[in-house]
Amino acid sequence: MDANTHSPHRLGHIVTALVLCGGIAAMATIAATSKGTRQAPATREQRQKADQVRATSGIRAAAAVNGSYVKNDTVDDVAVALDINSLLSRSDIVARGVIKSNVSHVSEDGAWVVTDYVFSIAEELFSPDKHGATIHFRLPGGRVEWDDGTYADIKIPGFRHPLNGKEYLLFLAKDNGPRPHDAERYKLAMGSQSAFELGSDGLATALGKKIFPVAKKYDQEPSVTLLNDIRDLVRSRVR
Amino acid sequence: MRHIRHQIRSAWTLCLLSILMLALVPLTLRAVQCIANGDDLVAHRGGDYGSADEGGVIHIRYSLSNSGYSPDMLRAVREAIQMWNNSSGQTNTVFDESPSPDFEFKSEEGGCGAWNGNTDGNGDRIQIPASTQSVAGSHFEVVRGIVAHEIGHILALGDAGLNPSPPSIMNNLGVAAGESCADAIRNRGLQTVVIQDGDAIAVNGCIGTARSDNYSSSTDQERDVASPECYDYYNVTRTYYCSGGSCTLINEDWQYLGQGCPYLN
Repeated sequence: MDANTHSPHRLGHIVTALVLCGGIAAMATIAATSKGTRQAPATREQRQKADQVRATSGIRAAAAVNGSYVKNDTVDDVAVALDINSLLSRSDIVARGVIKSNVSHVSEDGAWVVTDYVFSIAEELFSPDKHGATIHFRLPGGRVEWDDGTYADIKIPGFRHPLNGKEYLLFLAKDNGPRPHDAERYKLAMGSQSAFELGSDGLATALGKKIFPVAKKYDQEPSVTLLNDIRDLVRSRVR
Repeated sequence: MRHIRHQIRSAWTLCLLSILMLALVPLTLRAVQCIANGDDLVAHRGGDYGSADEGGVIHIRYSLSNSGYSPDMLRAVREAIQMWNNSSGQTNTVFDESPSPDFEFKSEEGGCGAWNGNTDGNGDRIQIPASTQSVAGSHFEVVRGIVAHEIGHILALGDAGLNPSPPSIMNNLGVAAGESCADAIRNRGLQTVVIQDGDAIAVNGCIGTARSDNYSSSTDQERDVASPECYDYYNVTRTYYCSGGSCTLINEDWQYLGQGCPYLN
């Protein structure tokens, strides 16, 4: 084998590789840019300034400081449910159903971003009061974009957000915060422990941290096991 | 023709290899960064409070003036603060009481104890409900442990679950059906009520990253807790449809990055 014989080929390979990779890189850049989340991160000083502005003038003004306001939130407390009975005892409604819609917007006090969900109930497993076929619940966080291109993005790390069209089991408690309409609004009864996706594969997936006892027990187990345990529990409570 | 096909095939191989190499480098860096971060930093964006003195020690100011706490509860808070201050050699952080605080202690209902990063415009604060406060005298060490746990969130640490191994002040309070916070404290309490060496070491790593100019939560890097010791990390991509100022979450894609263990730094 003569190395010189192959050198034009090698050069050709490298040029073609560069062209191919360049194309892929260009497409990746366009894709990343179009999501609007890949801008250079704000420095600590800029972040602190935005925090100060938010404390006095709200989240929209904070987003204007650096062009975006990106933060994290949590739905959890020091208390964790030992079992589903504990979750049930802190819930006003436990239901299986499908998310019909979700909308993120600035909270009524202007301080934060929240997401309002519309939940279409297929089965009320537990509910001391009478509920309609559709209820509303709220989670902290979400994304808001303004006409001037600025945005606020509040995330809940470690929590898989409910998505439109998918089926969930939710433990919900009444949310007594301000609400824009007369309909009752709910929140997760015990934070991230209170939500499971019921997958089309027949398995339940905990949306929150799997270190907590209820999530540990039922995550990736058959949905029917979780649902039947709740049904049995509710029946035993009624008796 | 065969030559062109060969050239394209070789070019693709080269391209794929370089993409693989490029992908592996950030994966490794991310894993290291995650170990330093810890979930809690991400979850609670702690570590960004206060300012460093000339010696580089970070001073975080707190206030009890609007707490309305009983003498027992005040003692629980002050001793919890003292516990963290005793670890300042490892955390590089000192808490000072101040009339112009970075965060406050308050009496608020909801849960058994929580940290709130001013999500409602009422300021950064640690919320302790009346039920928890009511047993500050009779179950002092547990209530002090709950306060120390919440301060851990301020210092960027996250929840560790019921019985974490190794033990951690970031363990959680288990509550049974029908129990109030006071009941749970009386009946069960916390497994660990004092700060562990691993907690202080973890703070040091987390806080440095949290305060760096390069740290940004916009990387979408998140943790899915698999066990108390080590965590699975993911890049999460969320797709929104935005119109008229509000947005709808359309999809969420979790891409596995690797595992990190927060006590190894």
